[in-house]
Amino acid sequence: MSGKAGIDELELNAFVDGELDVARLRSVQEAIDGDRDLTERVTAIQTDKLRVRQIYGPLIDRSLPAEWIRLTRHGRGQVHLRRTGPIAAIAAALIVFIAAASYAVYDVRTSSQEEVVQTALDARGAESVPVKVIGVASGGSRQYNGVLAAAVGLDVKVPDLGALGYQLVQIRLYRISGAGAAELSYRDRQNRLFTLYLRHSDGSVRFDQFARAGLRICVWQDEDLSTVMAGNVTTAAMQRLASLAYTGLTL
Amino acid sequence: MSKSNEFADALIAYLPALRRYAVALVGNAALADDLVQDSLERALRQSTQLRELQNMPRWLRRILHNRFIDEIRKSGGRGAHDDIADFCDHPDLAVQALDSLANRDFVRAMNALSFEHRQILLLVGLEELSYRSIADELGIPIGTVMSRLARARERLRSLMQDGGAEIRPFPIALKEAR
Repeated sequence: MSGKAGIDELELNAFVDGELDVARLRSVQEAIDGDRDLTERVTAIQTDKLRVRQIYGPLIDRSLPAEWIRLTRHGRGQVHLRRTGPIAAIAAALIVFIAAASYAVYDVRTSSQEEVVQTALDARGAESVPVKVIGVASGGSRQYNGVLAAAVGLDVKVPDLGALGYQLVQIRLYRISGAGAAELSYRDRQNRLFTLYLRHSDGSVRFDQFARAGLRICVWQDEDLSTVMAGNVTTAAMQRLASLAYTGLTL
Repeated sequence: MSKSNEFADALIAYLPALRRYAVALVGNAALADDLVQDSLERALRQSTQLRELQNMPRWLRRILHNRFIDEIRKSGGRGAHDDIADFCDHPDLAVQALDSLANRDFVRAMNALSFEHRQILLLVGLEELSYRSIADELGIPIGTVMSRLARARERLRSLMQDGGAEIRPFPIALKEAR
């Protein structure tokens, strides 16, 4: 189905998806620039591709059922899973259309879960006063394991995010309502900030990812530890960072 | 940290993305949750089959695909669930933000595509995989990825232009548009 300028539909799609090699990309780009029909075709493909992302993308921000997290951590024996019924089906289906209609970021907010996120964001925004600030020189982060564990009262270690290009630059320690908390600050080569806030959990199990105030935020909490990760990163990057950070806390 | 803990952490970290993918693929959020739950249980039972944690997204999607295809076969090519688009007209569930008919039509059209077309549109547009990665994941040549993708986009546009006239309930026969 070769079309104008020897460019077929497959190549137009490859162009939109960034799959052409440099030489072909240039010639296809020139052909598109000089042809209104091709331009319209490319625009249509780009629009549909973008719409997939805009409509379905925010669905990643829904809270995971706690049962799934417990199942993953502890196995089936201690978890009673339930199947969705008609009412749940309707409610769940609505979520898709709220996302589809709004084109907006889907924030997940419940009052009981909000506090730890807000506290973490306050720390990141320097709106709360730390009891101690530790600047980290380049080099290993392991030497701060003891400081971190003592501060939050849990057997945790400072995660090494170097594999994803982030280096630890600062540790801030807090006392909030008599309990210890800490914020680990990492920066990548573009000086982008990624923060990991941690403190004792309220005992609930939770894994959420959502967007707030221009940041992607991941809340990962088990019965003992609550962590809030924040950064100006993509959803996929946050998944990788969160996985590496959470694993590194106890590795 | 034990291998099983690393596996669990990686699994939890990817679950939101798998759940999103499932909703988009299945077109029904409740069924998607059931499929994800089944896939999760299966993944936990078969955790030793995953050699590299970095392959977890692809591995989980494969499990989910297989579970979904089983569901389709069990239901004889059609699901018992309603199309999610029908829920927007439910009188008790009015959503004020539903002001974009174009978006609604788009979701309806997506839901009317064949499984394979929806799958490839989502792998490219939502999961942002390269053609090479998709070819590896689906076990097909890159040329097939390209032609299937082009057909899927063409079909989607056709359904949008038809105003949903051809749209049928989920989940649509597997072999359509091959």
